[in-house]
Amino acid sequence: MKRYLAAAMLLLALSGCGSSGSSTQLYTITEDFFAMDTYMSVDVSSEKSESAAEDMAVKIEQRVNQLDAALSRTQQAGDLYKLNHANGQPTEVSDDTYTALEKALEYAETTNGAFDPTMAPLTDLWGIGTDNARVPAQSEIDEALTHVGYQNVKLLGNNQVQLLNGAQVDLGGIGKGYAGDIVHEMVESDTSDQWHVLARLSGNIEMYGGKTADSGTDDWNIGIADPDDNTDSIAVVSLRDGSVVTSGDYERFFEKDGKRYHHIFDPATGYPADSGLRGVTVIDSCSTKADALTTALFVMGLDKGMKYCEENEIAAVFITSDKQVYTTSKTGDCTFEFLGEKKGYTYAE
Amino acid sequence: MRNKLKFGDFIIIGVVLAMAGALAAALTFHSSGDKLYAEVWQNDTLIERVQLNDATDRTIKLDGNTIVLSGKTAKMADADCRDQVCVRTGTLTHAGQAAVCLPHRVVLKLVGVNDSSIDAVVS
Amino acid sequence: MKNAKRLTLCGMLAAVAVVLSLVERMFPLDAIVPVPGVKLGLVNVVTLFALTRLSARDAFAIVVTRVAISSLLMGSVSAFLFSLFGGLLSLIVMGILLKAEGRFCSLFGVSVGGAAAHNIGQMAAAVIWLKNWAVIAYLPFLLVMSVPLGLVTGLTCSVVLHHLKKIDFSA
Repeated sequence: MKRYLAAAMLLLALSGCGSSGSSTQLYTITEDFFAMDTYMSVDVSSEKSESAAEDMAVKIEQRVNQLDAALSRTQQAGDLYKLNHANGQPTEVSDDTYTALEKALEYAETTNGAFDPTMAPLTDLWGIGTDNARVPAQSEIDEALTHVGYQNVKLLGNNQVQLLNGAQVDLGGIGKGYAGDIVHEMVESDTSDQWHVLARLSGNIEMYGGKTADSGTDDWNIGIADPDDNTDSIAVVSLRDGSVVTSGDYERFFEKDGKRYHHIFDPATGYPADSGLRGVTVIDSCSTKADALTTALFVMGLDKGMKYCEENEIAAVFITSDKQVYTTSKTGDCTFEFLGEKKGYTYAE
Repeated sequence: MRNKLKFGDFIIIGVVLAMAGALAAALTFHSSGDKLYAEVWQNDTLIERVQLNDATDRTIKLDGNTIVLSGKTAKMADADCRDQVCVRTGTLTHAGQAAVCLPHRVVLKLVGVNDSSIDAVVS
Repeated sequence: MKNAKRLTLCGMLAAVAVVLSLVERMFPLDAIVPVPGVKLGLVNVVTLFALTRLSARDAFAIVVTRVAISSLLMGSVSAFLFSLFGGLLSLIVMGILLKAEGRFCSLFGVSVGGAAAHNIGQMAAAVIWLKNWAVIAYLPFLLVMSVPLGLVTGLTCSVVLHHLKKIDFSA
């Protein structure tokens, strides 16, 4: 009898060297919290234990809160607040703030200013999303526009930044994207476990490691919201890794005299971008880039935006106000499925 | 010949089928898979957790927000804030969805097993 | 029976069982029960045969050998555990039922009981291995399946035994 047992043990040990089971159990924790002026919800799955997932989720929340302080315009202890209130003097900022600024300027340049991190005087003037939302006078807009321009931000090296011409920086346009990239980096660099992460950072969704441990069924399915009913989707993109970011005129807006004024401003006019678009979604491995580009493409409009995407190999989905849905020829590593037919949308290929 | 069913065989078959039936019944009765809860959070505190079923019909009034639970759906019906983002979110129907009122820090979310093929909606 | 002959027979039966495990893989059971490694339990034929013609001890050896070899050939740790639990539980139940065979029930009942035990065993292993109670949901289906399957294995076994009677085994 003992011999049989010994043989069985040996064989069990040997079979362990072969292919391990394909159905790996995942331990998932969902952490939700308020940060960056929005509500975030992060699903973290560990292949080891629930407590490992919990630890990582808490670490992610802490890191995002830390980023919030570094990138917020309103947190008085934060670096960006310090910079904006330095009256044009060179100011030393943290690595996070400096890197985010570098990226913001890079995307402002590549989009020819369609994305601009210095729109703060304008957004403050309009106050969209606050109790003081109003349509300002043209003279006010013109005055605010004189302070707008990403060229007014000077990166002096060694984390020193200077704002010229009364410029004010607002990193709201890339902050959540930057956070998405940081989350991605955190789980990628931690090799103690095989992580699977889905982070819903408001209009930014960041994915890492696939939905399951089994290849073939591990794509996340991300719905692109119907601009008129945000709980429903007009299309689904499926991918394993990377980020999906949307900007739309339906996020924050107010209506006056039957006209809708939304929060995505055209730096050229100082008015909400009137480009015939309802929303733009960008799918990219870099979340910061995707975040900046959704704003820029929204401002450019369909034709110019589409051209930009083709030239720069960007994967994007455009929804126009006449209910047409356009996708770029490059959709990256993801698959795209159109669902908007029943809701009156047409897919124009 | 051995291949003739005996009385005891039927009993064994009966016992196996009865076990299958009892287990299936217990599982359907006890199934947690399709249970759906609406949770209302304010300032990171759970205020209300309601199991939703087809007969659910309830209104929860908070300071500034009104939440309506109706059948297996939930929505932020009213908010006295300026941005109205939570109200415009619309009706929540699947686990994982949430309507959030930032000014009042109120979160209405559906919790349970996500029966939709969509993992997240970007808006 | 002489020791060498017994050993040879054990080896042969184990080999037959391994082949049957391979055949079993061809059934697309995954489509209905998406737990990789779960099997129908055709191999119970061999266990039942070994129990009736040899001893419980030999049957045990055959089950362990079959499980080990078939897992090495194609399986994973999970498949190994499922087969081991299923095979052994089935062996125990059939061993007990065989005591009543002839008076209370026939080989059919024994093999239905064995098939059911096989499924309960492998699902128990699945629950332990996957640490997930949800897989139990497939057990009712597998139990119902074990009735026709048990009848088929019972029939096979009794036909084989019937023919073997004509050959003097213990010579």
